Amino acid sequence: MRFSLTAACVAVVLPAQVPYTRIVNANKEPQNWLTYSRTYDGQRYSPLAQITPANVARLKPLWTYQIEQMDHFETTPIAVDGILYITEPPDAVSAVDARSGRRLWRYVRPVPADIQVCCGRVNRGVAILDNTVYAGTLDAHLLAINAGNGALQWDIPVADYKSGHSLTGAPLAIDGKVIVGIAGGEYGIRGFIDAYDAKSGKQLWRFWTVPGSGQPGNQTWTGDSWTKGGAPAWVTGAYDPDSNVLYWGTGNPGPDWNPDGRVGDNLYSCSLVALDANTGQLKWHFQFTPHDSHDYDSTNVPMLVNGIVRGQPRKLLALANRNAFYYLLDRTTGEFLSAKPYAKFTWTKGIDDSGRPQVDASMEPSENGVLVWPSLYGATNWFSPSYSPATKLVYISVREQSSYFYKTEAEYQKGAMFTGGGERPVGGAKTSGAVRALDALTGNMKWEFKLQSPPWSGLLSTAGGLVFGGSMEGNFYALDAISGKPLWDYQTGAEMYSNVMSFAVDGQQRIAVTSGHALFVFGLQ
Amino acid sequence: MYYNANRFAMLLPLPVLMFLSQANPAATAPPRIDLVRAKHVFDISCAGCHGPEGRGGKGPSLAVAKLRHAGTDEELGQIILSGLPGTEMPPSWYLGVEGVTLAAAYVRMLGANATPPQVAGDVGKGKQLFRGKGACAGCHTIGAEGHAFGPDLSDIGARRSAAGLRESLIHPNAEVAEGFVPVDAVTQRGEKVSGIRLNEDNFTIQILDASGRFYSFRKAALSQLKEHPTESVMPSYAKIFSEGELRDLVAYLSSLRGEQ
Repeated sequence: MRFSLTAACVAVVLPAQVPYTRIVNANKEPQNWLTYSRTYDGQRYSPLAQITPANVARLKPLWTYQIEQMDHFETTPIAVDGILYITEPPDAVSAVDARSGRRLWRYVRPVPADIQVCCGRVNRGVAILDNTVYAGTLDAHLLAINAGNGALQWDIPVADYKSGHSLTGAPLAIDGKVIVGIAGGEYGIRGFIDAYDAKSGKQLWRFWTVPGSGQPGNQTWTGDSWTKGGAPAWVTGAYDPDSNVLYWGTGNPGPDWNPDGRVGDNLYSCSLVALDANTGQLKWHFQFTPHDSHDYDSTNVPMLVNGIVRGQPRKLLALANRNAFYYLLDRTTGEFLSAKPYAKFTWTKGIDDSGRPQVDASMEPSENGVLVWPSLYGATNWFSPSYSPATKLVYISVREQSSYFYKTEAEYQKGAMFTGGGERPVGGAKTSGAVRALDALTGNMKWEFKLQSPPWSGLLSTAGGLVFGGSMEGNFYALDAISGKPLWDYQTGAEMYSNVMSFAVDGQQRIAVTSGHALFVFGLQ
Repeated sequence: MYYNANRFAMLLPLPVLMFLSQANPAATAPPRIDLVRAKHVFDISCAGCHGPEGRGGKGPSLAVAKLRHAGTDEELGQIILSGLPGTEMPPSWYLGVEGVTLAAAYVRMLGANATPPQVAGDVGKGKQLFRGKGACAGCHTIGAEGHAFGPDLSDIGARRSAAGLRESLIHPNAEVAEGFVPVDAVTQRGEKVSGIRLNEDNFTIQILDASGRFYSFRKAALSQLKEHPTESVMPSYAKIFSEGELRDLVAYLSSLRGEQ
């Protein structure tokens, strides 16, 4: 038989070659998904327009990739020229054929038996730069892996996992650097955001999210409380290549629910920090929840958008905060522009003109428990929002749930939980969820799609005019991006802790999402 | 920080397990537990459902010699940390190592001191009432007997206190279990279906009617769907049974401990 070179080439793909310029110009190759939120601006929007409200009824599952562990599968695949790069919990990195779902390679790095992670052995994905895939590990190492064959290039310790540090978020790769934010806010760590040289793994800078003694902001802590002040940075931030500024959310101060020993605003916890990507120097910060006592964090994906606010064209930063407010900041100056509630809240009486909450003292955690909205898990959480430049709407996966917050004594012991309390769900209470579409510039709600229960799934909007999301009842669904009308759904059979993404192979648009312990890929049939 | 359920099974630190082992009252070593602190943890985290003395309320009694889901101390610690999937038992990971250790030790102490519940009433007469006048077997199963429409009662005595059982008989609407919410549905063709909601997601609902017929609907195919989360299908037995009969029935139900 004569060998057909044409046929043989159809499925041939080369190892990824993703220079920084490709990621900056990601909109020129909508078939790929080159960084956590597809673009550095954090919008989680796909320009692919093949799947539309008119044909989404024909969307079918094409293949499923199952992991071999029972941990939640929260990865956002990175798609490069027909190959998906994913993390598998607890600590594996794999390359998967985007056409067939067959694994091409897998790098496994065993997890130490004594790791301390508050909230599950999870990982949310990789970064890619040139021919290297980068992933964080639960024992707080950063790995560089050859994208072609899964071989380890370097493995560096970022922090001591025995004191509660871990890496769960996807790294962010920019020009020659890999940026990671540490997790471990329940263990009395001192949070930081690091930059590493992409080639060598050498640390380039560290920004401490809790300022050290003598540094500006340290006076917002009492005594030595700053040394175990938390403020982790466990969700991937955004980046503006034009200004070379990183925008990153920070988490709760420690101990979470007993703030008595850390009187003050506790900078830079529950904040957004803008950092010079070359030096890690702080350009500005905005603190959403000063002196937090509900573990509301601010580890939400910032969305960089532009628009006219207060009569001026501005470069903006939009953030749907876990504390139930949607914020708009000027990302050049850090100026607070607006905050509007998008979910029920009782922890504050409102937000004043400077952006500071008017905290209701009766809502502070107590020994006997205080009922507060939203619950510990927030009005939203780590899972991504989406912004569509086509509709100019921000889409948020919203949790409507309250809980009793307790305060107890907090005593620091290395590697042990340092929370000072906890929460208890309201027994038998009806909880709910929703997808809410807000006008990006005003925060006014345009539509709502109600969900059976509070979700743990992020959203994707597309140029095809759709919004995709998942539910805890296993529903993967598509909504009309303009009206919110449900147009399609598929029962995946498991709770969905996920972030939706889209790519294309052979000119065909695909939608990918994890559910339970599997990655599902859908296409039109 | 956020929480993912079902994860702590693999994360329970060894020191907890060791400590739980030491805290087990059945072990020969005396428990090294500050019971005042343990009771405090139990009171704020557990008593709301399991009762102030752990003798049951909305949640099952913990003052029993053997816990169905927690035969070992490791299992008990894991359940406290991560909850029990498919039940209303929530996770309490925030208690940390020490809190879980204290709560688990207190639960084990309750079990060690447990005495069989003294429930007034005649178990034999209660059994007759269950099968006869009460017609309870028309909706409930005990072992292989009965009709599967309402909750299975084979081990209800281990899961509910006598007071809780009596409350359910007199005021069935006070708390309707998640899988037994009455629903009325009307299809777009005008077909009416009434029953209990077995399950529901955003787009579909599954219903069982009293005859045992199962229905599955796309919600979009229904012209009407009403759920009645505060109305039990079960009638109140306050006026059906005399006070003595209620006592006998509760005594019978309390004797059901899943041992058939």
